[in-house]
Amino acid sequence: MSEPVGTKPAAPEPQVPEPSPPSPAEAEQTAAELRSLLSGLGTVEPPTDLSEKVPQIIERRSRGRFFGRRRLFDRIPFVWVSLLMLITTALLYAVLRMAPAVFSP
Amino acid sequence: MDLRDEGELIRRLQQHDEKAFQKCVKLYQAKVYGLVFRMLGSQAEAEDVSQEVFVTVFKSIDSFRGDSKFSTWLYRIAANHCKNRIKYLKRRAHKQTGELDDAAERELLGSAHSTLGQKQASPVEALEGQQLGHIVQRAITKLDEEHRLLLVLRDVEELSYEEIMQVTGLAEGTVKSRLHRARLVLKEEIARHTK
Repeated sequence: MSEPVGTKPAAPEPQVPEPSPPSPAEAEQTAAELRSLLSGLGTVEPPTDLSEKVPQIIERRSRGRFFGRRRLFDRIPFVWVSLLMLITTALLYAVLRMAPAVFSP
Repeated sequence: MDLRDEGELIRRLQQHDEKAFQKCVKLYQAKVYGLVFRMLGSQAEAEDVSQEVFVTVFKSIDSFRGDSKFSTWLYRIAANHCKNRIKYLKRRAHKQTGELDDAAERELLGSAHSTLGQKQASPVEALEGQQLGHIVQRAITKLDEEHRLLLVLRDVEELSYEEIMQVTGLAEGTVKSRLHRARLVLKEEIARHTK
């Protein structure tokens, strides 16, 4: 069977000798008694928003790599933004240097 | 869900398809939450652990080789998470060992009420049913984690012995003898509270 990675089983308890298996009749009687009690427990309803919360957790933990909602200006690489700003500043500087008369009083 | 649909769902999960993942959560959330809630006896813990189970499914879906049923693999992840959480809660000396949280109690009472409601129970019967449901869940959370897991898998979730062997990794004889022991302990515990 495939081993589910990501969660390691808890450390095993200290080994105690296994009791001998019960006789089938004895086991069946105990099981039938218990089943009638456990059937009264009913079913438990899972939270209605579980299928929305889990993808949100995955998106948050993967920092948007999985299930990311692409919004405008979301996940813009900083390298490109800083490069763009440097080029803009250099252009502005060049314009100011080449046309001093326009901007001087 | 037939095997072909399950295979297709797994293939899409392995491609990290969000819609497939949501479908997977919707399909299996009742099974996972049911197991986790019965194991932990707390609604808040059950919700948190159920979320972690599905996050683990997402992270480890590539390791699923398909040599067992997907639901069995999922139960195995849920069982491991439950055991770890029980150990963590024990370490924190959480009150959970004996007491159910308020929300869990409301849910238990609600489920017992609805079960009995289908039979047009009298108020006295309904109250008895609620109290019994409460006592049974309390008794389950008092069992040790291995006994609790076997009992919930077999008698609440109604898995076959073959599936339980795959979930727990135990041999058939061990499953049967431990399950019998768990039932006896649970029966004694319930009898102690109903006297």
